[in-house]
Amino acid sequence: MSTAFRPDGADAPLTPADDTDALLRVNNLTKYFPIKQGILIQRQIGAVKAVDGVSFAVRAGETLGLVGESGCGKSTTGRVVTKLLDPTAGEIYFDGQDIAKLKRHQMRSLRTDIQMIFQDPYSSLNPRHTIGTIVGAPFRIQKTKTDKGVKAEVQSLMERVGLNPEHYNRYPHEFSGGQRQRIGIARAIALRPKLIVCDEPVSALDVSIQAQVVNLLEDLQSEFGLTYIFVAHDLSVVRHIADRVAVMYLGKVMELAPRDTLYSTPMHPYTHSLMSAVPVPDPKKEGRRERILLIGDLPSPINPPPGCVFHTRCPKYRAVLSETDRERCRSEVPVLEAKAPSQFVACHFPEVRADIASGEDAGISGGESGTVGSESEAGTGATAL
Amino acid sequence: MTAQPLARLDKPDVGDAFLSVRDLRVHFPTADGLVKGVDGLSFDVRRGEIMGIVGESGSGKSVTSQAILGLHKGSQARITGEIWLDGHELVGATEEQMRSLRGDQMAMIFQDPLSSMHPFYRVGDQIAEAYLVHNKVSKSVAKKRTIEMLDRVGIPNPDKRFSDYPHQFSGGMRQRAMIAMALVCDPKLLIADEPTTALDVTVQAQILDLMKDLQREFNSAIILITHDLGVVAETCDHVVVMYGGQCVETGSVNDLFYEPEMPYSWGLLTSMPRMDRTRQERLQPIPGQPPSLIRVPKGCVFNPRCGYTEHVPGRRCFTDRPDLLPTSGGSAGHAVRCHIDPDERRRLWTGDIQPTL
Repeated sequence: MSTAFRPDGADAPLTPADDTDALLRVNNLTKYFPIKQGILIQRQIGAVKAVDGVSFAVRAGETLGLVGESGCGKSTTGRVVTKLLDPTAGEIYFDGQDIAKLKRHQMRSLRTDIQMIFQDPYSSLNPRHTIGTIVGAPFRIQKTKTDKGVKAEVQSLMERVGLNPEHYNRYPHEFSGGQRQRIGIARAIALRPKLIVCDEPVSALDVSIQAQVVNLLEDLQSEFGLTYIFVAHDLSVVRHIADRVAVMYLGKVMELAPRDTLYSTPMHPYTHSLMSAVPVPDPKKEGRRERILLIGDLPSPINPPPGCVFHTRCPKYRAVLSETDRERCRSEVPVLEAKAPSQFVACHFPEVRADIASGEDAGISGGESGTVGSESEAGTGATAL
Repeated sequence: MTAQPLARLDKPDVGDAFLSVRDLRVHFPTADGLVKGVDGLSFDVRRGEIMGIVGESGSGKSVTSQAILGLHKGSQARITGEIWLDGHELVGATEEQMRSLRGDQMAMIFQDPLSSMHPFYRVGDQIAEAYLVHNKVSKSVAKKRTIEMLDRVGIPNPDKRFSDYPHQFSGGMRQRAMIAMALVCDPKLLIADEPTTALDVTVQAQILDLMKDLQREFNSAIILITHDLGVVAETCDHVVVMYGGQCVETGSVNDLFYEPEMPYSWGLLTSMPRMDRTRQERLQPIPGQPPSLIRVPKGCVFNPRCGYTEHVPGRRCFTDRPDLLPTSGGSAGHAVRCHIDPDERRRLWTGDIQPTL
């Protein structure tokens, strides 16, 4: 029984990776880390299923946010897309070319197009190299010709990201965390890449500095037409910067939707609990908000639960569903499919909760809002859009 | 434990405050110069109250908490001022006196539970040790008490989990075990230094809920150190905003979130993206960098990053250090360190800042 929402418009994709003019298409991406035992003869006794069948597409010029808790596979996804790790299975189409099986040396020419910004500005810069060497390295490695020489190019990059070009010969330890992150950004944009994977670029920074770096990333995106995959755990930052957001849990995408849709009408029970857990800097609203507490800890990715991976902690499974419905959650893996236009949800029993993110009383409580399932034509979801 | 009675100085009038910090200064002499980690900080915490300390890295939040616990004793740090805990003065106390208070009267929850637990000892033994030091009981009683605490903080199968090592616990469970360790002797003062920063939001929500529950149950005073204004709004009663080693604004949470009067507090509120409001096209960051604590700016410590210095006549922001003065309009405990005229400050907040949030 197909439960997919059938859109009338031809341009609305049916599957998350079904977008032919996307810059990057990831289809059923899987990354298992083997667990081995034995000293001389090593046998594989299991695998950490870090990423387990993830599909999405990123259009040129847009920002896709990947959110989720630690251990959900968002960073691994970012690293596999940049081919810092080789995928176990699945396809990665970049600019129409499948790069999933390319070898290291074949990837080298593509590194000009795909770059990465790392989380920890203290460990991602070589402490023995000057800023000039660090930011100039992409030019030397790729043997890129520059108009006025590498030094002039690096200095103009430094100026562009808000660093003093006179600090060309300084070392990373002479800079603060925010400035170091700017150095990492300058290095990433040096070769004018098309796609940048930002792995938690602002989570190590103070609030006031975080806003500076977020604004810089947005400016660079519009100036150079960059495409971002923005990996983060902070839902407020992702709401600010991303155009579309994918919510991950235990190696799978739970919900993928345009930003405003996701934050105003989240459908997956996991998205609900994630959003309700974010504390809002407003004491009066904070007192009114309903907090959906998850019970227990994240299951082990070595041996994930059967059926829907979230069912062991799902508040809906625990409190609302009937035993036959529960049986379905335990046995059948929900497919990530469109339950409303452009809103992909991997849940057998999704429901719209409009009251979660805002903290305002939207007048919708758990029991009253309709379940968007097979027959209801995504009623609540479509009207809320 | 036979602790000597603490020296009683001339006790100031601290009202009903359980902890009173008066003009605390913690200075570290270094080869590059004197680092003024905390420079003249005063605040009171009553029992049954959660006091939040907010600020960026290097603003002196953690140095303050370490000074209260006496963890600077034996280091190079020069500490002046007074810390009154339930009638005892702590700055002048000896290491031995401090040790009898730590764990018993006051306890601390650290940010990173993995590095603050010993990897070589079982979790249960580490918690029981804290109880044995302060109570003359047998090991089996201490074990029973530990299992009780592990159960209280929501660890499943506490009697089996007693014998686990820290690496067998997940991040959230370790933080629960840390809280159990801190609470095992029923401390009257609990200092939580970024207790949820290393945790995911769903686990953070669980831990904050637990802390609020335990606080109601034991009626303890809690100091919550954090950089997350959302956490402050959710848990705290009063707030101290620290910047460059000083308190720049203090008041109730309602004062801070609805009527802040210090440009730094405004900057904190405008620079953070928020989920509960309409999405802004651009964030409004505070320009520049936090100050060096060796070369603290002359005048107001925030002046290099402040956008409102021209509202003060005669460049006083650059020459005179403003005092922490009570505000005229706000509630009783609301005080601000700023030269801008109070009426002007309120006009700026309601006219220019609040609408942009």
